Amino acid sequence: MPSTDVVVVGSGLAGLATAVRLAEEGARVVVVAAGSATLSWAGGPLDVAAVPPDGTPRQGVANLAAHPGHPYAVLSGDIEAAVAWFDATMAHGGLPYEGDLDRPLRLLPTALGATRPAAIVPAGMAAALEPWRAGEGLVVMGIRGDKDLWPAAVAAGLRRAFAAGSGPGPASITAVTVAIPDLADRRNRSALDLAHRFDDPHQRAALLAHMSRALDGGRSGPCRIALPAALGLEDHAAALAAARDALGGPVFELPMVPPSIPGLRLQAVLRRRFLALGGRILLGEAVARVEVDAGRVARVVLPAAAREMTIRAPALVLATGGLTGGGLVAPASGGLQETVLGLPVETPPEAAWLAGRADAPGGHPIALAGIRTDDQLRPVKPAGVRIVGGLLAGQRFVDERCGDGVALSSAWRAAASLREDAGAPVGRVAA
Amino acid sequence: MTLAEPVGLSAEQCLKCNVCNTVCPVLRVTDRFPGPKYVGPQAQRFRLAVEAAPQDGRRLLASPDLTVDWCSGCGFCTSACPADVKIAEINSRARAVMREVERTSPLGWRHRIRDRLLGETDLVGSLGVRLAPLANLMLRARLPRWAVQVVLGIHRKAALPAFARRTFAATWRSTHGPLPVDPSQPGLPGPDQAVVYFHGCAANYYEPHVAAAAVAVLERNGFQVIVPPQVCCGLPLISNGRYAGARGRARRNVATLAAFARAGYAIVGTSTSCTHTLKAEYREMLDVDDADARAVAGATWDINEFLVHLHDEGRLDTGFGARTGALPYHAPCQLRSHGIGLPALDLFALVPGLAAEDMDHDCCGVAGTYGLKEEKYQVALDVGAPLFDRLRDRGAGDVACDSETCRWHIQAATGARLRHPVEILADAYAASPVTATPGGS
Amino acid sequence: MTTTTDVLVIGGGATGAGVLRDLARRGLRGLLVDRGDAGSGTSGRYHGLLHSGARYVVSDPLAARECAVENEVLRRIAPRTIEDTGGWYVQAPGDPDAYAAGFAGACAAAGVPCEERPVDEVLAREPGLHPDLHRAFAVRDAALEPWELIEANLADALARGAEVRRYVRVTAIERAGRRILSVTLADERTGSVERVVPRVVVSAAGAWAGGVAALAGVSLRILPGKGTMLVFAERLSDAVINRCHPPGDGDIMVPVHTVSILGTTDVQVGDPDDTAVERAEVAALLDEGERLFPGLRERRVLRAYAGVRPLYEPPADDVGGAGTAAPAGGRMIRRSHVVIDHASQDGVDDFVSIVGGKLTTYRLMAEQTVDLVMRKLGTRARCTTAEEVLPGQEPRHNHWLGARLAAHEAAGGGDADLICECELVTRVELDGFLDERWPCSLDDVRRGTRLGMGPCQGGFCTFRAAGVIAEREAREGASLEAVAGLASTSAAAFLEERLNGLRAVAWGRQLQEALLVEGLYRGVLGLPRSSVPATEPEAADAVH
Repeated sequence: MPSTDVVVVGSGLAGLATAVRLAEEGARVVVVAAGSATLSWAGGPLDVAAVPPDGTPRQGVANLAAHPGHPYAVLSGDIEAAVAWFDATMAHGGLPYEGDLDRPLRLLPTALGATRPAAIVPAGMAAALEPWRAGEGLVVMGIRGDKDLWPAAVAAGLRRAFAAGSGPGPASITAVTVAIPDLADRRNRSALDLAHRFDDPHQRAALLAHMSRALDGGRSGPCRIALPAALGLEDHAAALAAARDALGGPVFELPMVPPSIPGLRLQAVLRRRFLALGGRILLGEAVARVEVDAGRVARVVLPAAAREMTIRAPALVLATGGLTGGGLVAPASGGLQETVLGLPVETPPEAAWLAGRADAPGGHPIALAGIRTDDQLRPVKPAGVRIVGGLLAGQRFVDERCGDGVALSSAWRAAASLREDAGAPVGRVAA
Repeated sequence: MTLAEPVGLSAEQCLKCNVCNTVCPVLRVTDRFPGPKYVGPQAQRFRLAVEAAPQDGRRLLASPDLTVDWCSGCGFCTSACPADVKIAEINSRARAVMREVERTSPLGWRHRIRDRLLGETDLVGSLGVRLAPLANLMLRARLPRWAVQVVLGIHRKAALPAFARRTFAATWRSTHGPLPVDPSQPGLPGPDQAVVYFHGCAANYYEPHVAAAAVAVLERNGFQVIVPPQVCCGLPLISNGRYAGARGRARRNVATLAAFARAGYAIVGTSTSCTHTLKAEYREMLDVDDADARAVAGATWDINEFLVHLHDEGRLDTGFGARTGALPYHAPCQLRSHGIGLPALDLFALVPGLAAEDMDHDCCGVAGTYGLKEEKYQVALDVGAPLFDRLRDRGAGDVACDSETCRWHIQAATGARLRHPVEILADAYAASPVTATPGGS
Repeated sequence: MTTTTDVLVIGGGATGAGVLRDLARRGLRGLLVDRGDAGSGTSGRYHGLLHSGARYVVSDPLAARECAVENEVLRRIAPRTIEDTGGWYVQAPGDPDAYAAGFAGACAAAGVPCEERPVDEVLAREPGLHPDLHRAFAVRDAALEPWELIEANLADALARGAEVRRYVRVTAIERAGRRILSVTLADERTGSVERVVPRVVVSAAGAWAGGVAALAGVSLRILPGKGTMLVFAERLSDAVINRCHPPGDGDIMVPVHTVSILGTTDVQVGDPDDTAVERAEVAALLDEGERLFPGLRERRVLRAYAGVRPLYEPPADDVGGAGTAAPAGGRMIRRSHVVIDHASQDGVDDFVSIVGGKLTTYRLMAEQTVDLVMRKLGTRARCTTAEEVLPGQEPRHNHWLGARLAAHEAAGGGDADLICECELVTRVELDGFLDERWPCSLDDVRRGTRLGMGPCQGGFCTFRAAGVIAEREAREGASLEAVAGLASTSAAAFLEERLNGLRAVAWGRQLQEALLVEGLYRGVLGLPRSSVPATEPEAADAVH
């Protein structure tokens, strides 16, 4: 591994997608990442754009692309292909997503008892986005002791949220909290713990039997059942099918706080795909420095345990994320720094970083910080570098809900661009 | 916690995001362990920096949480953490303090004695080798193993390796004379022609064939092998919370090896956990961090890492004989802590016909001496179960793994034949007498 | 509605709570009101230090002596509110030799225990300190938990018939000549209005005492002195660390529970509610702190906050009061307290203000205040607050850092029942607080339990606590609308509050944490922004 075609720094959605795309083209790819957290923070839906929040993702992309500084201004042409690739990759990996760019955004309930717009979601959340039929109710079901999902609060919040939204919502929203005797005296009761239980066929059956009994007490008429996003990690498909079967109706998972099981499933599919293509992942390694020869990336140096390890690579993809992901840091002395290459950061005026109230529309200006690139995602220098995902300047990934779409379309563009980069004969070595 | 102690201080970086819990193999299988986030960066907030209040010298409970003992130390939490919190290392230090403060130890005297014994690999190894035939018989027999569990709490089914009839060091002495302690000793080949071999306890007391394979592979590549006197690297002591003892081992090894390191010799080891200890744990965990320790750390190589390095420089003999068939490979936790990737896979790719397959399983469960303990044996089996199932599905045959305790554990659980990667390479060299790239000679 | 009481105490900080307790123990009926929660003003926004007195031995030996005495009293009556960390005065490089040379002598003269110790010993105990210290002195500093202390005082008073009204504001004081006829109270939460007819009014409103006095038509000049503090994510020392030099900015580090607090600054502000922290103040604090703890600037800061000192500026011709005036201006104003009898000074017979002072001497301030009240009412009873241990306190059982973890482990341990993981607040503990205090806000919960005071600043526990509350309410048949409001409004209020604490320290890991948490609430969980759709084109363009 001392030499490779491309080093991808970062193992979030943008990094893994770029790595898989490149590996599919025959490139030797090494992913280097300081950690592997960001997908475990993601709720599950694929956020392409929600501007306006009741339009379609495609409209949102077009609206955002109209802003010259937004990543979509250069990437919108790739979104179709990138999302299609994502759908195929997920379906192939046994984690199918439903919905598409032209599906209107609808209200997806969450574990906070709020709703958020979504159009493209994993199969486990798809039932939430079907139009509500007359008389159809919603039962919010939680497991007693799961401290990250409080059914009474969720049900009450959802009543308000659906009442405020446009279009029909559930006819009734009720809460059911299921007591699972075996869980009562456990030290650990998180979505993660539940997911492990749902992976095991025996424990799954026992859990669902309890849930089914509790549901029968609280159900009147046709209804959908909202559950914690914990229907299995390794064997989600079986757990989801079993839940539908046992509860006798459409079920869907509610996005929750980390660790997000839907995000971990997505991570696992991409990771497995990448390894199957011969890719290598080095976790827990922050890049010490990048060495440049004649203006072009030449070597990526990692700290390793006692002696630096050097990987020769003519191409480097930065998928380190923005301030939230850790690709940008704000030192106490002021300003923003890019962590791998020290690239110039497009930074809003410091006094305005957190301007406005916490609930100000559009969020804080600091969200826009990032690296400015050309349309091939190249920063000012050095040659051989591409920027993907949250590190790109000009996006408000929380408020525009564009983070996943930017990640995928930039991965798509970066892979295509590197393929044609004369200095980085990506794909040729292995071909 | 103080500003002077970087491991403990790293806890402040925690984002509370829980990703450490998602990668913890122990949390996955047992409810006894509350997870790395709880015992690591969170419990750390409730631990004092120094164990006494400054006014009256009262000793306070330094580590009131006992569940940290269920951490196996695999280190996946540390690598997954996006904020660079040294979670496994925080746990290790907390365990050491817990052992020092007898009152708070959750262990009875049996387990305390056991844990001391598990750390004394040189003592156990040299005694065992001396009594090898008898000792090995005992280890295979049910009644003595039952007795060992009752008296010491080492699980009767846990994999314990057979003692060699003779230590590797003794065999080496008999063929190469006294072990050199000084690189300037007349007759020693220079650092261009020779490497220092750190055999560790496993190759010395249990698996001299691994050492022999390493010597054969190094010699094939034109290196003579120098074996200076050495003691246990100290990792089993660290894992069992006995830092003071480990520090003694560290100082002795550093005292011997530093001169070789300064003279430019590479120090090559076949135990990926020993080499990681020399590289990192002396400095990070034991605070043995002087210039000598740093010289040793900088000169130490895992053998596969070293061979890949040779290949990178065009110096590796790639004249491997063909070997057909699949070779499942398990990368041990300690190897990941090296931050060098999976060099065994790079080497296997050079062997014609060899289809190595990364099993991509986090941890086999044994985590050094963790899985030997009666209360943790089942955890070790459950952690490794998915790996074992897949290996069993692949049928009998060789399985490669860099770490000895993992090999023993996996072998006992699956019946497969576990090999160090360097044994596979030695076989492949033996199958082809032709040197493909002129080596160092 | 009109009620009567012997004494109306305005202000539920430590002083007011101490006055209420002292009144109750001396057989008087007291009613205490605070416009917010008890301890939500200056008492709850201080640096957590139980003064040994050494800070004042040079500038104000009398105040130093008072601190030293009260320090021992508090150790006796409220041991569980104290972590006996001990404290050091260290002479860092650049600190004047003369001050250190005279320090031990000044301590002895003021009656403040102090012992010089070898620098090596201090460095062994506190390895984070600057390695080139010149001298070091051990003193009886400790960490003091204000809210528990206040609640214990209130509990003692309540057990003796006193009344406490939180979130009740004084809106008017009706006076006739030298007499106060009645005081009008408005409940901030219900909006209900009430008239109280007290025999005596005690203003313990601290920095807000000027405003209270004005309601009674009395002029009382308080110079609100803003002190800014930085909260570091972890304990950076085991003991309180003070720089041995004339008192200045950023020269005290106090280990309080799981965090360290560096304080303080002293900036005169016009409005006692002006507790906004400027980035420049933070930078100045860090510069000074760095002289004690090299590398401090790289450590994670959770938030910055400010408290407002109630420094009293006596009228130019002042002759009354318990203290003597010094030239005006910040640290040079006497830190000792003044009990003001508005009868002699302003011609109002039944009105007393207690101003100045510091948390360490709250009990003494209360005692002197109640002494005056007793004289006014013409009754006599001995003060026993220095002798009787407060409720919920066990003699000689101090708080210690590991207590929560040890208790939680003893109860089975594990992650399952933890609502706030950073501060180990369990479901049982939360329910216990709610049983006692509901209805209350999450901010009240925070003061009572430390919920949300750790590194994620509530990011992973606020919605859990809201969920617990919603479940309780739903069980008790509260309106669904009310339950629905809880989760989202408490989450929104909390995000706003944490943003305020972050603005002046928006860097590094804490900025990342804040953005992560905001992403979780706004993004993953869909907490709505106020009505307007995201990203209006103009808004985006304005920043591009």
